[in-house]
Amino acid sequence: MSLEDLNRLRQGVYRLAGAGFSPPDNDLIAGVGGAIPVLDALGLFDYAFAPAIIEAVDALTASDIDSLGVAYVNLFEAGVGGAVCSPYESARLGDSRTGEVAQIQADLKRTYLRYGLRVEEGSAGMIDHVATEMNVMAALCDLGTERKSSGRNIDRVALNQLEFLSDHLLKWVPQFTAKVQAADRHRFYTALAEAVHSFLEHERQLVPLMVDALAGANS
Amino acid sequence: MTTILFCTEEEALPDIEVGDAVLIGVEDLCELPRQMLSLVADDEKELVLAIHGDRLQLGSLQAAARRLGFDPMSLGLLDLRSISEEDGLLRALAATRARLSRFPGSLPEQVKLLPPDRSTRRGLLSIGTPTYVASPAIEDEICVAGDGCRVCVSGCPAGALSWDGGAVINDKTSCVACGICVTSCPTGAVVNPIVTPDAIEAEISAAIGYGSDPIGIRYRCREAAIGSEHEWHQVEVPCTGMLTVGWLLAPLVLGAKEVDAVPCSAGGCSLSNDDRLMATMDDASTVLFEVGLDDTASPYIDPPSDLMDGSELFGHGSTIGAIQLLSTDAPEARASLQAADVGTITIESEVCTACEMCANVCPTDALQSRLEDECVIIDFDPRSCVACTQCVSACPEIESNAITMTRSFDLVDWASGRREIRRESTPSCEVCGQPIAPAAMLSRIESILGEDDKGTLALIGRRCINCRGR
Repeated sequence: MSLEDLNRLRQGVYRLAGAGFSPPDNDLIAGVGGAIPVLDALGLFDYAFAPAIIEAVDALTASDIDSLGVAYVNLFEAGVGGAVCSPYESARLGDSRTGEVAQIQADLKRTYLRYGLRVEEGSAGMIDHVATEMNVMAALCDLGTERKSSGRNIDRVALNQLEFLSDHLLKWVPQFTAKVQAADRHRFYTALAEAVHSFLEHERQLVPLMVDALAGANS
Repeated sequence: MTTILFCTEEEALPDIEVGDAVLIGVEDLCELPRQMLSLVADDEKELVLAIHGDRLQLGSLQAAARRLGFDPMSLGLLDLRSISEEDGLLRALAATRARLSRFPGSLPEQVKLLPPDRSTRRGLLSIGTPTYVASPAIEDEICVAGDGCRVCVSGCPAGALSWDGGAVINDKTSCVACGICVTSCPTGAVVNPIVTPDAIEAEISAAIGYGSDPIGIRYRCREAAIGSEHEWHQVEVPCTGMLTVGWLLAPLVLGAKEVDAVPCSAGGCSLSNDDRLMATMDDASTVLFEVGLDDTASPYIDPPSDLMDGSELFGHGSTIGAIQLLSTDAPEARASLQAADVGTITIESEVCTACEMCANVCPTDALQSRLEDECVIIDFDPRSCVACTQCVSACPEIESNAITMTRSFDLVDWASGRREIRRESTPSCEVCGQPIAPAAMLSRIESILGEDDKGTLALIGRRCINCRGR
């Protein structure tokens, strides 16, 4: 398998996770079934996280929009004193009384700009949402694929992926997915949390290997 | 149902009876494992593959297993190079299926991605079909790192484990999945799903229980060159450095004729665990000698049924149980050992301040403290001590050797059970009557403060911490 295909596969899984953690709609349920053949063609079953991804997609395909919507609100939006499973990095890692929440969000905004990603007007409230962070990694994977295909160096993109993974996703998403698994009563969000957990555990090992491989190839 | 796929590239499909399983011959299964996609039924529960390990495309096999709905770590891989006769094949099949039946399932944290081949530029720039091995993960609910335990950290030959703020961190990229942390953990909190105590016990019991001829059990490092020998059943382990004295003795308890261990190469263990293995094997020999058993003779002990869940014979602290079971004819046996996970704790009353730190950090509760008759009492149960030395490390008077641990067993001592090893009086507070602190601790404070601060000294000697401000 080429690095481009691997990047495309990872991008697809990040996009899937981003869509799964976004407010659900009918398009999501209708469209997700087509994801598996695409990921399969990119070698999904070669990777340890494949069964968890399949399980999540199966669970989503079997879901109805009403129960999914209720589950989403119950888990990620409602709750006395905040959501049961807040999907925001700043809410999980920061203390609002000391200004850490704003600090985390401001740091993230700078990080996105440094990666060459534009923060859309009106999206400030979503800047550290789990779906946004998944989509940021998807964009970095996409950037890597694009550069590799055009023969350009992708060391910097790989390093950015490693940085974002270590400094953000792995710092809070594993605890977040564990909380979702404990609190969820809807099969889909349990399966999605397990899939993201499995995928990020794999990323924890894979991305440093990719960075090493690229450094070795260039030396 | 179980499907057994047999690679027929080098030998013909044997004409054997495999009970309720289905035996299918597959030409060149090892190099083209995707063939199994059309051979295994959708509702199959277990999959055993009789393969040639030196030719196996493990990554492709694991991918095919995933596509079939199997956890790749659950596959029973039986290396045909380790089998010489039909009888040996049937025994190995029985043992492999028994081991499979105890597979607990693997978690994402228990799967390690092996680095790609970096010997070629192609290897550097393409990821190839990834290959995974099972690796240990720590069960936070059982781990006592929060009490300061770092046994796994100090034993890790790869430096993959670290202790940070009361938790053990496993750097998976450095982990070599050798399993030493699994068997050295005093509480059984480190779990590798393919080498659980239950699974090992099941495999060895099934191998020994197959047929009427006694056999030996040979633990073989997964990296070791494989050869076949009649009358031996080979049990693959991640590294022979993970073996404990208990693991070496347990097969004898179960009826094995003899026990052996083969490290990864004649040149020695690639992880430098040779010394550890040699010391463990020496200890096992010493135990057998002291309890009156030759190290090649099986005692054919029928272990009590409540010991047969695997966790007692192969779990943490199992060495103590194995020695007890083997020593029924030598009730006074005792010996000093080098590396065994059995220990005896001694406290030097002259320098111990009875601060109870040793009891607080003991992960197996071999050391316990209590307050009775206006004294702090520390009890020790040698049958629970796994020689982890956490008590020694935590002792504030470590430079004075206030507490020492010696690796040894003494059946008379074990028979006497829990006993008091330290007693220190505790003066009572003149205000509330509660204990202030052990007298030895107050003396120690006095020796530190000296003559310079007699007021403070007088106060802390008369009042407890809650009443000093009154």
